[in-house]
Amino acid sequence: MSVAPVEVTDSQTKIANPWITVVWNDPINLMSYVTYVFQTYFGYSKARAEQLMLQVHNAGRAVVSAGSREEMERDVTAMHSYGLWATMAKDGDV
Amino acid sequence: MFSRSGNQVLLELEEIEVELLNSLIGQLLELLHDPEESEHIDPLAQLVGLNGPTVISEDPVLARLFPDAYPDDENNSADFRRFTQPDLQRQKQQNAHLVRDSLKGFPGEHQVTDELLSPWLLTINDLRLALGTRIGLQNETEVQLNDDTLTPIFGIYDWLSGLQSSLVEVLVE
Repeated sequence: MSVAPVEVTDSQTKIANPWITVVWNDPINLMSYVTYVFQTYFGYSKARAEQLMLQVHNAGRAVVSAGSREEMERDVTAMHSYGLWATMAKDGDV
Repeated sequence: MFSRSGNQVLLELEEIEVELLNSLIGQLLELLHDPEESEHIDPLAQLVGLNGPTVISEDPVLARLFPDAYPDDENNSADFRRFTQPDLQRQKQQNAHLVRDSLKGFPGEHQVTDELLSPWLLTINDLRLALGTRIGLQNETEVQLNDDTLTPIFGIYDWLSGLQSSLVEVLVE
């Protein structure tokens, strides 16, 4: 018996993860510190954390996590406790 | 600066650096006890544990330490702030107190125990955010250095940046 792979569409992902946490660029936080926070709190690999940090730095912001509203409130609170400038929004509103 | 020796994290501070940190941490703690914030306390809300402020501070440093969570949404930002800011504020105060207590063993080079690494990292970051915001770094990437009164603060800010870099390096090693 074989199971056909399930294709996850964009809209399905959005229903499962309707909220996002956004980290904004600020000229004070050190790049190495921001990378460290992404690795430590989210458990991202060094490469992924660096990529997100550079996106924040170059594009001005990056979506660092997605999930339920409660989960994103927890992530935003954690980012604030690390001193990162983070906000949350419904996916699609940003 | 921080360094690693085997499994131990060491910190070396000169006397003037200890004095500086003590003074900065004192100022940070004063800022975090801002009496302006306590004026907003509603006695009933305090009873049920919802004693946080609802609006972002007019002080740029406090606004940076406790930013709005929902851009362009005052009501949700107010609720979020009311629920989270008191804890966040307490955390910052506790970290600052732990770091200040651990300064008592300095100057010199001493071990920083594992449970104090996070308080050190976060307190140094709060100090950098506070100083950086005060000297206007928040809005501009390049600040003019013509203002002589700010020069010593830039020196302190740079020193804190070096201190934090050395700690991050030790932590990711």
